[in-house]
Amino acid sequence: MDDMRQYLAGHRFFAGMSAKHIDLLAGCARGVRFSKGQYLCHEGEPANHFYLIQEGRVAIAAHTSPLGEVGLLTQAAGQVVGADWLFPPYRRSFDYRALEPTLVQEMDGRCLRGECEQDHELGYQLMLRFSGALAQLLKATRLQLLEVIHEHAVE
Amino acid sequence: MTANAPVIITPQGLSGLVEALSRQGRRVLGPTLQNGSLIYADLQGTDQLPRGLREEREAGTFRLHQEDGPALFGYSLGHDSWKRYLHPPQLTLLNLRREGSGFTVQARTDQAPPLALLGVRPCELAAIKILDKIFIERTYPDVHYFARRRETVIIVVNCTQPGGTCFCASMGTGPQARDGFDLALTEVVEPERHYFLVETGSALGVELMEQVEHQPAREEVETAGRMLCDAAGRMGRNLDTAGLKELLYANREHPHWQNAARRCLTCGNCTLVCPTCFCHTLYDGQDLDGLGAWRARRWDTCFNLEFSYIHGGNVRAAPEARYRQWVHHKLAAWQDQFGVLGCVGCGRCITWCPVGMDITHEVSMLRQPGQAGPKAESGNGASHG
Amino acid sequence: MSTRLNEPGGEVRPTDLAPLPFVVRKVHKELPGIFTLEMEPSTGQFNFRPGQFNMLYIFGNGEVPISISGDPQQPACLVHTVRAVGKVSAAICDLSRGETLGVRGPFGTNWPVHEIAGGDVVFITSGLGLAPLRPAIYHVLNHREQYGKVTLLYGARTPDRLLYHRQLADWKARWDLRVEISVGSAGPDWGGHIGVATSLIAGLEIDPEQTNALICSSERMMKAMAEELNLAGLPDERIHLSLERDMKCGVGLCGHCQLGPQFICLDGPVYSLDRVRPLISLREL
Repeated sequence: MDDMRQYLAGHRFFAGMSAKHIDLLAGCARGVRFSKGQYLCHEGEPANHFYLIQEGRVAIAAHTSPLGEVGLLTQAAGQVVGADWLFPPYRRSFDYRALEPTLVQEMDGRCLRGECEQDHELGYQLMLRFSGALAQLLKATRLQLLEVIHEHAVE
Repeated sequence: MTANAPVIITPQGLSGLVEALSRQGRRVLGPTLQNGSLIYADLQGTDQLPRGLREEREAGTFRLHQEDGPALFGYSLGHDSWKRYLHPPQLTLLNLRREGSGFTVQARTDQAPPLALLGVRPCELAAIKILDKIFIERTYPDVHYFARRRETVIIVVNCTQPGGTCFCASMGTGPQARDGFDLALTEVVEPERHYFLVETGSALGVELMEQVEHQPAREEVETAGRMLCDAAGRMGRNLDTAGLKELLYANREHPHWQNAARRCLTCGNCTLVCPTCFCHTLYDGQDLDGLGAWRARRWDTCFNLEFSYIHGGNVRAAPEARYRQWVHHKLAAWQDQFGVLGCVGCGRCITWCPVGMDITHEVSMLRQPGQAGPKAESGNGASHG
Repeated sequence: MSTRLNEPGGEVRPTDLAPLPFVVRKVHKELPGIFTLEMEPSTGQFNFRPGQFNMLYIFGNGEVPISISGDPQQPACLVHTVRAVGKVSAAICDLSRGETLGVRGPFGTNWPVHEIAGGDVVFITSGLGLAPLRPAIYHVLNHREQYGKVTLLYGARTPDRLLYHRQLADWKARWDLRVEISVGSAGPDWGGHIGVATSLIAGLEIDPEQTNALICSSERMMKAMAEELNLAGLPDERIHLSLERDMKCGVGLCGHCQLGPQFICLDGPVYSLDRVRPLISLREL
């Protein structure tokens, strides 16, 4: 538990959070290992966790016919994946696959949702961090889109 | 005679001057009236100069009136500029010919007779000096402009009758030319006399005057000086050039540009009549037999939508962007590029704009605070090209 | 010459606008619509600085400005990578061995490969942007001992759209060059990064005092790259980019390539970002 607390306290994503909240988060965390090619979760499954990547890399992918599975983004150690736990219907929008042996801290989203309802300060702190991460991802995604559009316009 | 002592000549003397220039094998050009327009064309003598012609100029308006008087230069400018002769609207640059699997190139060099420009207004002289900076004082000088310009004789006629949209006084380019000419004339019409005060500005000017009947000038110098001073006070427009570059660079997003864009047709007339606009495009073609090819250039305008085309689209698509580009280039970027303002205050752009856009007005609006708030910017990088 | 005229700024040459015929020795299809041509200079040698461009001419048809993509240390072979987007570029891509291409140049400013010696170098590019950057990469690798850490970050749309993919693989295998590649999307066979190239920057550990970045992509992407580099502590003076505008004459006379007061063909196309940031931040300038 101390190791977990130390890991979370030093994690960039949770920087600045109070010791009390770090304790709570530590209680919601569970280390899970995935081997190369193994899926953390599939599109459509219930989304009650988010993942802190401690080691390894995860690809966010979508299956589309006739292309099959298309990787859209890779996230590496230090980054957080999974935002579907935040809002109903709490279902995975994408597949998450480990690209190499990966260790994640699986955070109990269902539990945290309840805690956030009780403790709005916790809720605010988490929302602040998640919205920041999502804003960054949205920006990067739009840039990706712009590149495709630009190339398409030239061709 | 010494180079600096002004002299007097009569209209007959002026005729003699034209003859002297022709004898030197020069092609003499000057203002003429053709099809109701004031055009710079070939002069065989002074008879072709538009005696008694007067102009009326305002934003979007130009009228010529014929009066009885003897004045040969009683107007200022028409739409035509000397740029047309020094930087022709269309010019073949190269011829190429297939040879084996490759080709050979023949650069076209002009063998035309040297020019003598009679009736260059001080603003136009300033424009020619600017064109010199653009086409000659560059890393890659333009051989075609250089060939035409290097032997060109310039005979200025100072302006005693400014046009309604003139603002050479505020641009420091007129109504009197200071230097850079071979000869500078000021026409004086009095009830009893009609003469030209002549100043020489070069050894060639001195040489020419030695072939023309002239008298030393005395009180005529003061007369002419007074007329020119008076003309400077009768300008139709004014442009405050203080801090102009900084003003424009700091106000690229001023809301007034949208206002201007609502009126500007992006027709490009201003760039056609402007004596310093130099932008052109290069284009290639083939002879019908497929063995010969050529490269040519023709005037282009930044108001053309395709002027800024790169694969995928036009960089300056909005009319606002194109109007802004022209004004910014003329009054700000030009200074970084060539060390001088690009505008000489001739007022042609104001007169020949179909909707009467007035560059002096549009710029003065930037000195008013805009709602959006202008952004202060420094350092746009001086060009040394 | 008239005593009233100032001296010309350079030699007055009738041939500044005249192309020279170069023979095509090799044509290689890199990707759909993208070809690399290797040419023999008509004068035997074609010397250029990395980052410069030529005007390439198809007889009777027209010219297009294309960056030089070859090794500056191999002047006997002129290399250009061209994408067929218009009638002239399509005709260039259609040439075969033994045919002639008109070449005029080299023009423009170069990547500051000498000025940045002694420090670390990061090359960041995406798509076809690798083509104008490659001569600088060649130079740095040819003089490897003059530089510290050298990194190449390259983004492509998909794994099968990597430009110069064999060369990338060779470079990736070098111990003295770090190559990170990211693609916009990929199938399950791709184990590498997926995402926009800018996302590779955060993981670099740049020493801002020691590093220069050379970037080449669309203006929008370059701004995004610069943003990430600034976040990593790298100031604009140490970020160098290559800009693009419509070029017709290539010698600063026709006015087409202007960006504010800059003639991109003469004062650029390579700039340090501090010199041009205000200019590329304004829409439709």
